[in-house]
Amino acid sequence: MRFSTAALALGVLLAPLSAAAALPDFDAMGARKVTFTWDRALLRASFAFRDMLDGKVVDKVSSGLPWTIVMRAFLFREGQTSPVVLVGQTCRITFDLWDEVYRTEVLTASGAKKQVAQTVESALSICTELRGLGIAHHRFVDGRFRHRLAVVAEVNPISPEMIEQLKRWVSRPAASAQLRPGDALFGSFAGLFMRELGKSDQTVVFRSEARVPNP
Amino acid sequence: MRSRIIVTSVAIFWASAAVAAEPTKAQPTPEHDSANTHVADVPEKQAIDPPRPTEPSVAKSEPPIIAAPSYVIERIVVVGNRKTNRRVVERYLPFSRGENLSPDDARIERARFRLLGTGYFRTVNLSLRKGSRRGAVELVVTVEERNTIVVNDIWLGFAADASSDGKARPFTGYGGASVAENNFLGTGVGLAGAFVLADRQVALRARITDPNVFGSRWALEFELIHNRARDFFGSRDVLVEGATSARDYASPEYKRTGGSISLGHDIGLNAQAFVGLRVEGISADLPKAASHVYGLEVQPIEFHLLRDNSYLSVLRAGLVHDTRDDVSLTSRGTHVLASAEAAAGPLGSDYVYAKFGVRAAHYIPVKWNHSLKLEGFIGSVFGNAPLFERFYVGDFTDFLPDRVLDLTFDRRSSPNFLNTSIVEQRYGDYAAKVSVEYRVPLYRGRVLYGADAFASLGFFGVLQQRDLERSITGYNSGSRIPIDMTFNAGVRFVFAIGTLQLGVSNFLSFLPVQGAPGVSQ
Repeated sequence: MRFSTAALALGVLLAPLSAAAALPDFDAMGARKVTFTWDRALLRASFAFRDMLDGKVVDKVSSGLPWTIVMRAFLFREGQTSPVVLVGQTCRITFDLWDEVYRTEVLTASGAKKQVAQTVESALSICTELRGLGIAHHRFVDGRFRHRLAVVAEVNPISPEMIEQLKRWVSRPAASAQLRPGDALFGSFAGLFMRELGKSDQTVVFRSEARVPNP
Repeated sequence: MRSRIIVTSVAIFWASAAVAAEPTKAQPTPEHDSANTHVADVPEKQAIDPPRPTEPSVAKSEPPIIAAPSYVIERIVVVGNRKTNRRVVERYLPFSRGENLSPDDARIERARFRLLGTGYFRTVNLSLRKGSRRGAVELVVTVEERNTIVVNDIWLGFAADASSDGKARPFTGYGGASVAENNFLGTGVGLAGAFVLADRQVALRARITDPNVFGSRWALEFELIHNRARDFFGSRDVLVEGATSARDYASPEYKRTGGSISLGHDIGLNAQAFVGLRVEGISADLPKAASHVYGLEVQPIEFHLLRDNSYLSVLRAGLVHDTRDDVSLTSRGTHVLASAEAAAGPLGSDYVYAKFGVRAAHYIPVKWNHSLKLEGFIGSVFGNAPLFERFYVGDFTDFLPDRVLDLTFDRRSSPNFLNTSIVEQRYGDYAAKVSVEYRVPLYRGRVLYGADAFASLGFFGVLQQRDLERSITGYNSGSRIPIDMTFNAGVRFVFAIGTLQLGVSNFLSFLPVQGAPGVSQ
């Protein structure tokens, strides 16, 4: 009883905190070097994150099956919690077993670009070393304020549809179910291990330092 | 913290996409400029930026792009399966030797997750390696097995029961567990057992499940049932044949031994249908006669069991529809279970009845990751169903322990917050309940998967057919309707091995707040 009351009180206290915690916490994100340049009216950013990838994740590049990295870059004006703009890029690498080359395909808002790399590192650089990535038109970047770029990159992300289906496979009772409470005999508790599965093989998150990207 | 940031970012994506649309179209250069370092670029769209000579060269002489590779499967290799039979893994692969395979084939990813969905493996990775001739490959399935022994449930609780001579006792305990090996001897067959112990009561279950019998999409289950049980009957002034004075309760004992067979099949992504047959022998030690005061009248006690030996044979069919996002820390989705049962003489049953029921729960996410659960239940029994197939009031109120493996632990009636004839009811032919529960996530982690604070409120009714035919005496118009309110609040913890719920209702139920039966309102 005492424990229940204490836990309830804790819940009441934590509720508003959890709402506040939904804001991006830039301090918790590792900072990396991001270079901003202006290409006439377009703000461009260059950055790399190859070194942040886990070795086991990189090993999968040569599996012969598609290896995908989905990158999203958010530009925030300092002090604001909603991004000014978002750009995204999907990069896929498939190792051709018999030609022994890495076929890459980069998808952006402006189209697809296919390339071939001879080595795994070459292929990875295509996906993880972004140079002059178009970020935003100057109309969206207020030169009076400092801005930050936050980057989220997911390796082999699992589609929400697949996660949904996986949950069904795991959680469903085999051949019977009880109407009553308390009789969840041999129920669906195995579904808990779903929590051990990430939504991707690896997720990389980092940010730039805040600076004024003056044209 | 990292995951929180990711979630935040995803949420922002949609809001910002429209903002970003204009400059992206106007200046179509969120382009991957490092691509220009590759001699063999074959852009589908003209690159905007010129090549930058200072950038490191990645590949100086790339071969021309050719069509995506297509292979022929020469062999399927399973690696890492120390316990699980190779055939169990292959059962979930929609490929065979000699088949053409493209790396882009969606079935590859699907097969990986289908294998993960068995629960047998911690990780599953598919890869290709060169075969013995050009164009041929070996499909390699690398698995890391996981512990497949799962504690499905642990039951521990307190109840108020009665002694063998029918005298009310204030406090007793009960406990039990359900454990399953979901990959028995690596065959993919599930083996499970459950037990519950209480004072002079025991319930045992054993179950074998093949989720893909003979490699089909049918699931097959066999279950063995044994219960040595007792129950508590009578509102007040209970008289039992052979006893010299009135007692608090009549407490008959009975045994059940039998088994069931069930078949289940998926219907689409979110639904499953099942049919089954259960056969059991029942041996009941009932007094020759017993009466109690029901309302204001002395009436015989109906034990809902046939004296001495009887047989029950019941057919059951059901449908489950489940779109919940999580089985235990649910925040959205719907779970519906509809069930119909029939027992009849031609099936060899001494009990002839039909039972129908629908339970539906809908989860609605609200602000701050909180969620709301709306739940409803309605059910009816027609005929002389045994007591364990009837609707027990303790299954609907939070202030009494639920039945576990068909055992009842508590002699008490519903708390009767609304001063109705619910206080006279124990088993009903009809039952309905509506409830709402509000959940506040307190914690999410890896060992303790989650902790949620919750508060719930519900209303329910349990009604006997005889009260429809002849109104219960001693109650005025509105109070004749046997309904009650229930509520609870507490914290629910979800661990890797099970769920622990701490709620206030179980503690409050031992406070003297219950209404007395048989009092005219």
